[in-house]
Amino acid sequence: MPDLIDPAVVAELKDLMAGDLEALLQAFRDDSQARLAVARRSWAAGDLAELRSQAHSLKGAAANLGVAGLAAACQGLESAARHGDADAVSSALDLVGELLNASHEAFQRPPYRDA
Amino acid sequence: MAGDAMNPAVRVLVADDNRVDRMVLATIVRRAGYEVVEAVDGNDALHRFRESRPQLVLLDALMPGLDGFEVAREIKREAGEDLIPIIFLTSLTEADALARAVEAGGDDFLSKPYNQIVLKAKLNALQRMRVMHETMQRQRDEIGRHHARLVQEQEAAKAVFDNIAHTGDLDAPFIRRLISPLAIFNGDVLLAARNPANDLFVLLGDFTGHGLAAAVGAMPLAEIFYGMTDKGFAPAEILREANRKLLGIMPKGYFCCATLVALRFNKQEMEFWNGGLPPGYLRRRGGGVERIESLHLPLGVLADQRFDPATRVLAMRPGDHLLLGTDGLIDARDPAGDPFGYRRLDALVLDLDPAASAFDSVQRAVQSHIGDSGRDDDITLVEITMVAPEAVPERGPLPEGERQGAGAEWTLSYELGPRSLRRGTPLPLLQHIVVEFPELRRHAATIYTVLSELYSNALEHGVLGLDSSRKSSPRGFADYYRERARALEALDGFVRFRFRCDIDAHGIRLDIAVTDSGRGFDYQSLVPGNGTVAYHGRGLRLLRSLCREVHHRGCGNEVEVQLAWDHDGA
Repeated sequence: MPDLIDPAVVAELKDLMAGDLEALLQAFRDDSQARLAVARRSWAAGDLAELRSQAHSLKGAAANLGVAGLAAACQGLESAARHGDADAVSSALDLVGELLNASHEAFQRPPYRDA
Repeated sequence: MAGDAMNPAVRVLVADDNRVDRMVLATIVRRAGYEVVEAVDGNDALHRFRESRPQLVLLDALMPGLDGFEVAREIKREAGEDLIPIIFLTSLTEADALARAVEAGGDDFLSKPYNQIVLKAKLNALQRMRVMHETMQRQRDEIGRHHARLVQEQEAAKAVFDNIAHTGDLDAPFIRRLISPLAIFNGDVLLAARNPANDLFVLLGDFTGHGLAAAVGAMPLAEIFYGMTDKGFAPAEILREANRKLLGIMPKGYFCCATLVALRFNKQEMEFWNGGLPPGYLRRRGGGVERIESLHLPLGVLADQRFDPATRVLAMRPGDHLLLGTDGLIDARDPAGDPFGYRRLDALVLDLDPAASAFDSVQRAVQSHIGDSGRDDDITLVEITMVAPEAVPERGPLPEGERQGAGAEWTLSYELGPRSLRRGTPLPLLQHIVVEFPELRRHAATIYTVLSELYSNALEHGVLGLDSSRKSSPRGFADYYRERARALEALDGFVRFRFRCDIDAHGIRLDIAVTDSGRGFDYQSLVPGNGTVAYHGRGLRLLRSLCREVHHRGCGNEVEVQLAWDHDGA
């Protein structure tokens, strides 16, 4: 499992987004919470395809924001859903939830925020 | 920025259902200098594409509703022959998904997390490719337009050529010809006309250059050929004038390989000049083939002083025929690229059964050499057959002008000294004066024939003192014309014409007396009806058949003929 944050990606992102970084992070907060909620509902309803799709989307966004650990967890969730392994899906969902919260907290600190 | 530099308004469609990814992507693309159009899913992507016609497209592979593959297929379909590069956004690593993207028309891939430098490089590369494609399309369209214009020009050239050819005598029964349309565009010209004496003049030309360039030279060539033939100029004079004109108007390096043939039915002779075309083949009716090579440079190459219009004169008999072709014949290639060549042509014509048609045989051989490829169908082939004078159809009458003149009464004396005699035939000038009178115009052919007989007798047998009986053998025939050319250079003497014309209400009487500076001849021995008409007696026999009276006077250096017609045409 990689570190939660990939500082190189974050540095590039800060350079790219400049003043729009905060708006981007806020978009991720809203979006990722919504996607996690949909993912959980899908799992409960047995809709594995939708679960995979949400995990996939969340993975991409996490990678783009430099939250490498979260992206890896999403990859794990996507893969567990593909194999239909119930235990693995449950624990992967939990891990994604935890790392998502950790990410939101990380956004308040360096390297996202200047010290 | 690269995008700016190449085109300030290059639009890029960014289609991703994930808001965060879309924001990152749009920012990168905008910062690379492109204008961004965003779409939130597949249906939206198609809608935006149709609305704003972006030049580049970034497509997320997995989107709700229409997925990226379907959108890509539709965009490529709607773009038609325009190139709209599509980059697939995907974190897919499976080979089959990449294969699906390629199949749907994807030009490149980008995986998450997005890297600014990589994406910028891809965008710029695809933009360059797109511009190149656009340039290519534009150039292709331009080539298409050029081609269309060329075809149009060629059609115009062909129309002009057809008009030129139709004014001539190409449909005469003793001419067979094959000119492929491509040959016309490649500069081949075939002209035929009869002069006032009903001799058939044929000019086969092959201009360097194609299409309009060739037609531009063909126009004055045709004008000179028709105009001068009609007025009765000799081949050498026509050639000299054509050479002078073409040299003057054509750009350097452009010229016209040509063969000029004058078939004199009355004399059963052929005058021949070839500058740069493949040899002509003279096939004798009973067998035997002579190859007549080009001895001259093409028309439009040499300055007037250095141009040599000397023709060769060959005796012919009815049924003898001359086969001419242009380089297209020699160059005709088989599918493997091997040209037909001189050797094949020579072998074919020289060994041909005398009874077989050379025209048909050569045409068949070349066509079968070319095979089905048809790409070298650039062939001009002409066959001219000598016929007896009686078999030559009358030349159409000259335009008559006013039907009935007010009558006329005139005399004219015209004497040619050595320089004038060397210079060439005075016949066009005399003919011009004679046909000024509308009553005489309808008899122009007869008058010209008589004038030309009188003049050639006065010059050749009188002033030059040549013995026409030498023309009886082919060998002597050639010697005769060689001797004639030599004597002409050295001549000292004159030929004098005296005309007396009387046109009244009843009819026309035209007396022509010709005196030369020669020693004369024993005309008493040439009384009509003494049985044998030798070859050299043809001219005199012809005169007697056309004139009401023919008298020799003095020591034989004077001849006087009388032509007369009633107005009712008798």
